[in-house]
Amino acid sequence: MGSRNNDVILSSQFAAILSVTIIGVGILSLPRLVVEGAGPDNWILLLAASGAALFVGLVMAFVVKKFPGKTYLELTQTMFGKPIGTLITLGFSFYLVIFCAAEVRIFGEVTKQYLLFNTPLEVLSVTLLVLAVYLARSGIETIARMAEVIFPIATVIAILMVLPVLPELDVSYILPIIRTPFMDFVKAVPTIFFSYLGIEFILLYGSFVKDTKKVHKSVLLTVGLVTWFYLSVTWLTVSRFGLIETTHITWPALELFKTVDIPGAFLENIEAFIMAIWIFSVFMTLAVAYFGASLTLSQAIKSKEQNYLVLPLLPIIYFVAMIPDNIAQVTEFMDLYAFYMGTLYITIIPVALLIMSFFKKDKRGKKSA
Amino acid sequence: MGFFDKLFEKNENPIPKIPIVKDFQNNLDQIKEILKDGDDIIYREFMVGQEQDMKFGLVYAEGLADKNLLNEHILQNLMVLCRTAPMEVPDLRDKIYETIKNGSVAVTDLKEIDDIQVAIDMILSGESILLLNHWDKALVIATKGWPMRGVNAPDTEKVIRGPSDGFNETLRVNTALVRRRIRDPKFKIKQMQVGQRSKTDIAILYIEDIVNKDILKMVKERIDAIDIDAIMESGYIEQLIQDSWRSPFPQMQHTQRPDTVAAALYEGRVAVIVDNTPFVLIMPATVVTLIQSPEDYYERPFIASAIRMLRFAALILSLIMPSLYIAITSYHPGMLPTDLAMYVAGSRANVPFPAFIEAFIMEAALELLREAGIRLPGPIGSTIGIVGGLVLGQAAVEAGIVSPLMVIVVALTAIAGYSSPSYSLAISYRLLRFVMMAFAAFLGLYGVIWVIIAILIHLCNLKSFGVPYLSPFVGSAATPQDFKDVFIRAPLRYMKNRPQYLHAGDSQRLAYDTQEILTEEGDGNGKQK
Repeated sequence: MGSRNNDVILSSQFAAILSVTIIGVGILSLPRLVVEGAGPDNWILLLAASGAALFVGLVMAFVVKKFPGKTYLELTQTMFGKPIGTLITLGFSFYLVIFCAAEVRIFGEVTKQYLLFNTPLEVLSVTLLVLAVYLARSGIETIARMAEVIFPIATVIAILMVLPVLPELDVSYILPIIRTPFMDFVKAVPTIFFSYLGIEFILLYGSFVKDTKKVHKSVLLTVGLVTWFYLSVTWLTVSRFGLIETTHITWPALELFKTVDIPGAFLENIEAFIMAIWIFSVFMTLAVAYFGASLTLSQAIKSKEQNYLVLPLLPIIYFVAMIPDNIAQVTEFMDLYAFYMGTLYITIIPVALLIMSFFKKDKRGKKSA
Repeated sequence: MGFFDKLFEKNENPIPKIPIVKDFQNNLDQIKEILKDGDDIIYREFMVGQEQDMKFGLVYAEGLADKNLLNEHILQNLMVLCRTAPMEVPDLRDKIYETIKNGSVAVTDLKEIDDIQVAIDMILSGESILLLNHWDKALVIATKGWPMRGVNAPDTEKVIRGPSDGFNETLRVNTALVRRRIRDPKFKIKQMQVGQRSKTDIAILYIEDIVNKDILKMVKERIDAIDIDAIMESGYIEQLIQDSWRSPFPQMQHTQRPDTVAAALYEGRVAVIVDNTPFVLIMPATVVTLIQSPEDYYERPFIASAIRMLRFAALILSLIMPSLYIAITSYHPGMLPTDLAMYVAGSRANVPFPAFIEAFIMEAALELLREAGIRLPGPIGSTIGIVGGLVLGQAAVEAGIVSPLMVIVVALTAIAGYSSPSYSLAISYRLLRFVMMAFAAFLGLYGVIWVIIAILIHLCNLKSFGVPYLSPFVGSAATPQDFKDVFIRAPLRYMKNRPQYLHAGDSQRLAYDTQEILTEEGDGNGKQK
């Protein structure tokens, strides 16, 4: 468990953490991916992916409910034995470090492209990492409060920003429905499913939740909110740019707001403000993953002091983030990485845990939440 | 309460007790020795009785004790009246204390002590000590009374509507001002002394069945832990018991208004009154309590809500406006509409400095003006405002050092900053504004966001006496109920409960059926009984 006694969160805070974590860098390219995958059936694709995310989410919620207060290490160790459990936890930490690095790199590239053209990538990355260190050192309760504050603000502003786009909506772009060949559709689901990356934190942070009984509600709420958010962004983008054009834009969600004019407003290009909100959400994703990386690492090496491990991770994440030559390499790598590691940690391990938990009924965790 | 016994024990222990003995002269000499060279201490020796055979000594500190009371009710009684009235009891010496207490000293509060150290403390806090020959005790006569400022309207926290009595420098007056507003036996005023040398009186105020016991315990423990030579102002207490000294944000509210204190007590907070200062501390404080003004509750809800939202907007503006100016003019001019961008560029064309230097010069000048304005006496202070604001600003623009837009931004920032009801919150924002300006110059809009995130993390970390500083936006205890008193001030008839995030006892404030009764009676052409 955490090193200080501020490690109890509520299920509502849990939902806020999950939501701000899942919505991160993925949102920018999501409309393109969805349209590439299924054309006009994009929304069905999204719903299918969200169904898959909901399924694994509920599996994880079930495990958390069955073993309240058990940390990731304790869970994997009781289910798979000590060495394998330690290995899985260590691997999770490694996975999260790479995840953080990719997040930082994409953040740096996008910020450089849209906000600060002349600022070196290194400065952008390090400054964001320093902030993430600050939050990750503050512990889960502060992260929970942060998520609670940011989530409603970001939501309200995002809704307000969408309003100017509404009059230009064209429903004809999402019709006709069900025209995509079935196999293409099925093949596209995993790609979109990985837009729900971050849902694996249910297992990791489930041990902090006070009212464990409500965890499945948090999962439902999270997946519902995120899906609604993804759907509205995709719809807006597609109806604005059309199907073909959407697939040709790297970050369609940002370009969308580049075209928005608020009638009578004093600021012309609100894409900078969208960027601002996006920085909030990227930052939260990064900080939560960063905290997770240090937490799993401290669990795996049996260290009580999670916050001492935060700072040493910074140079590692930074250097990993600087390895790729360009953004294309990052996305290419992330696709593969998400596919293998993501599948392992989001799907295989939770399901395995679920199956094992049926056999371990007698040795249920005695530790109370 | 065992806690307080322990506290007083702790304060007295280091000083060994000096017992009062039967030898009158010895006692007096002891006191004189301890208070040597204290020329404001008056020793009055006199003889009492028909035969003038009883020696008395009166010791008090001049200026702290009420001389009139001593002359008219003590000296006159003992010296004049006792001589004319024949003693009824033949052997007076055995019952001299009872006789004096019951018959001769006409004051309200009398105490008997047997320790010279206590006697010294009493003298120094304004009481008078009466020593008697052949008696191994002394009488403490409550004669505290010194010149004090009246109950004036406070200089800060002015309201249009609302009471205008303010605290003054005397603890007793201040507790009375609060007591007048809470005639509840559950309202407690617990007194203690802090400061090894200053022995400053401190009163902890709370309403027993409303206050959150955990918070109260925390306040008491932290004050108890203070071991300092002197407490000069409530700011000392604030800094010694606050949760995080690293924070620029005030973690306690301070006020000069008794109605603010009473309202806070009714919400379940704790107040600490410190002697010698009109500023009373209220804890725990959250960001929201620092934006609320007492007038919000006296005005009608719609107006109060609108004003409160204005204040929220002002607070945010005062923090980010100069930074936004810097960020947009130096990094993102494309954000502005073309006409405006041209105008901004045109007005800045002759300015020889980068936007950050320009903004920094103006903000620094403004801070200087503010500081000068506070130090100078009233009429000159406003002159400084005119000279600084109008003349300097105008001249700076004409000289081409700053752009007119910058002057507007700075002026707006200053006005927005002044609208905060809490001075301590406003000054912490002033500090953060400069940090944000530096980051805006360094990283543009991302720098502004960076600082906002950093501040948010800090605020999320911060707790005031165990209550999250951002309550009720965050935290387990907050409920939607609490939002009736955040951005808006809901009509009183809907604010039925105390703030939930404080875990206050007796959480219901307003009877649940009040609304129906009011509505029914309201129907009868507004005639209400």
